[in-house]
Amino acid sequence: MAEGESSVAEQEPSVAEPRTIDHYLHTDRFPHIWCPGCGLGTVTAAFLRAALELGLEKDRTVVVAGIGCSSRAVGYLDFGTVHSIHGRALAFATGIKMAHPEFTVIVLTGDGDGAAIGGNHLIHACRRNLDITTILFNNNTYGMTGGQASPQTGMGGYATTAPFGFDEPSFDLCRLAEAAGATYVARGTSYGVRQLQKLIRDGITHPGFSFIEAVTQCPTEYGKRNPPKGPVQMLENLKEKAISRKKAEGMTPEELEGRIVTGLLHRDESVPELTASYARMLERIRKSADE
Amino acid sequence: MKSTPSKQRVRSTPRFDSARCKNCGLCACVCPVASIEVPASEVPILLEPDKCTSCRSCEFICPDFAVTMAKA
Amino acid sequence: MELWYTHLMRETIDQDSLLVQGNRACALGALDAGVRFFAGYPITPSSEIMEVMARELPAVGGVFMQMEDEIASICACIGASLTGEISMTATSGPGFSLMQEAIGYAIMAEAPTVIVNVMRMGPSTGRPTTPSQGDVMQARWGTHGDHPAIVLAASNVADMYRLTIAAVRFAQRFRMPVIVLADEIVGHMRESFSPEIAGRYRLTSGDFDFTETYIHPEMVREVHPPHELGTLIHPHVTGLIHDETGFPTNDPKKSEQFLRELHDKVVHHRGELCLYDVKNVGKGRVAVVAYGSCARSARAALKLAEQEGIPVEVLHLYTLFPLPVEIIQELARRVEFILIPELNLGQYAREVRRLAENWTTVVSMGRIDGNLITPRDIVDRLAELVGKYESA
Ligand SMILES: Cc1ncc(C[n+]2csc(CCOP(=O)(O)OP(=O)(O)O)c2C)c(N)n1
Ligand code: SF4
Repeated sequence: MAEGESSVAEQEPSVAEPRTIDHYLHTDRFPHIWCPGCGLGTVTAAFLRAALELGLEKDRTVVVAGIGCSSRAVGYLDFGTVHSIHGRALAFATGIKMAHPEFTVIVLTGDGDGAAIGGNHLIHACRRNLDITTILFNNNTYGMTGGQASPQTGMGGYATTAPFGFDEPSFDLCRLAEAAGATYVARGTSYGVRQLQKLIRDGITHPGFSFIEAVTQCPTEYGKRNPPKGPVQMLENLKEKAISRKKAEGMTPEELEGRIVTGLLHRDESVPELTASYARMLERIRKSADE
Repeated sequence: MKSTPSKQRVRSTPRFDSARCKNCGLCACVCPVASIEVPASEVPILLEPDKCTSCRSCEFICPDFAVTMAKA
Repeated sequence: MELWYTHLMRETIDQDSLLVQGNRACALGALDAGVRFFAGYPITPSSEIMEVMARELPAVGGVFMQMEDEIASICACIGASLTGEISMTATSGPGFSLMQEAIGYAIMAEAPTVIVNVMRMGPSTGRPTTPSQGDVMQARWGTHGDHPAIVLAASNVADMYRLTIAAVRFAQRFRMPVIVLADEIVGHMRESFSPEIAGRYRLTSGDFDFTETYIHPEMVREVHPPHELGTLIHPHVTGLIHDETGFPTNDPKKSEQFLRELHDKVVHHRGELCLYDVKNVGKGRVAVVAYGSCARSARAALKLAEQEGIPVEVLHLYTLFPLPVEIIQELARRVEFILIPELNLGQYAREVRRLAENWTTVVSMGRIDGNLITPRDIVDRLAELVGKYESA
């Protein structure tokens, strides 16, 4: 069982919450565009429950997305929301956060949006350690455009643009984020929703750049071409493949082949956060001007 | 399982919103007591409400925001 | 007046005037116009703008960011703008090309921002330190789709200052990106400049003034209410076609209405947006229409031509787009031909031609060897043309 994840069965019956996640949703815009069984809604719901836990204020929270099925989430969220352009959500978010450090800024992105076209912005956002929480919905494909290969399709995966099998390796996005300087890095799946919710919640409270990879299923475009087929089978597959970081530590690379290591993977509180250090610089300049 | 609430209380069970449900079957797949059935192109049914442990798994997994927990 | 040029004042303290570089003047204009967010990526010949901003913005509590590329730069500017901050970026050809998609987003999302393009010779890397006016049509049509554009062109150091201010005001008022074109000469030259000089230049236009009171977006009927992230006013921003709620729509009627409104807000206010200056109104039988560094040569050519017996009218355009249709057509009715000197192969001449050809002949005078068009060049060409048209 992954770290921080209680099995879906083991959870304590909960006390009724005063609010449901509908509080943060434009329910009038439902039904949403996502296909039946698509995990994007599950991940979005996990984020919203984290938001409820933290009591995020609608008018002090800005959610920025790029373009893709995953990025469409912002069209249903009752926060300040920016549906930006493909790959550039983090650049928009950087402007928003630097201009208004008091806002809680969340970025929702896909594996194509965040790791292909937006890969450069991703590593630089990690490096800057700006207090932004990025949730990358990794469904191993370009869902919105019809199932083309993404950097996360993986060796041997099939896609409309890899009809004979993809022959490029993928990123380990979490290791990429860590190496680039993100100070909170975690991975969850749309099966381990409680763990995911907790990881997202802690990512939002972490004062620095948080990167959370949410591995999820695209039954329509990825599942159609890659076994197992069907949302239920894909979800069960995620369950089987997920392994907690603790457990993974004792395992060899061979044993870890094809597994999804979940949980908090990296956290560093020693690196200064950018808006804070920028504010200190302004203060220094102001003082020296006064003298 | 940690819980056997000392005080008798009314347990919540899932309600399925027919306007939102897309009939994907994920709720049934995660139900630990196999108590949900999803008939083709229909809203899921809670077969044995008494077996339901109010674990909220179906609510949390639902990608369509279609499940809410409510007291019987 | 005293209020808005504090940065310029500080520069010129105890001096009547000072040698200021064009790029520096641009940055000072931005600061005086209230720009408090700048994101950019270094590129010749515009880098000095960002260097001045890097030094000066923190002193006024603003944010300066050097981004990973020009796409990130303009996106950060749009992000800041959506929170109500006044933002700006500066670049040159290659960077301007990278920005195009985001410029379209700013138009769709009605996010005010200013993009300064100090043009260099292209295409591609071209000749980085060589002046050019090759990006005129890109400034108009660079991003995809039918869209409006406001494009200003600076001809000297004073312009760099005041047109940057004008650009900021236009952007705020019409809630869209405004592009300021300069060229390498204008960006890099130093000339004497002071608040006094700034005030002396005439910008003929309906009712433009430099003060902040000019920004009344609510007065422009076609402008949709501003997005203000961090409040719950109009909080969903998207590059998809959207309706008055801010949310996407596929409704054909609403789509057309939305796109038309984007255009109308510019076209209906052309009188106000078109900044220009005419010399020798009605006194010349021929005319020169010019902008940017070529306008300096044109103004100098006016005197030279007069001495040589060619009375010429000079229309100096500060606003290239929206097209100053009425101004050009009026001129076309008065003169035998219009000469258009530009550092490109006649990009703007083609625009003027389609407006003026019913009344007069439009002659393009393009130069693309990296050298300037001098006043002498213009006068010689005028003399040739006068000979040709008189003998005809
Ligand atoms: C500049 C640009 N290039 C290409 C596209 C087309 N496009 C839209 S979404 C998308 C892929 C999205 O993939 P991903 O981020 O993985 O999101 P998903 O749809 O899988 O959730 C692409 C290529 C675009 N909108 N803009
Ligand atoms: S195409 Fe894939 S990612 Fe997009 S909504 Fe459908 S299942 Fe989800």
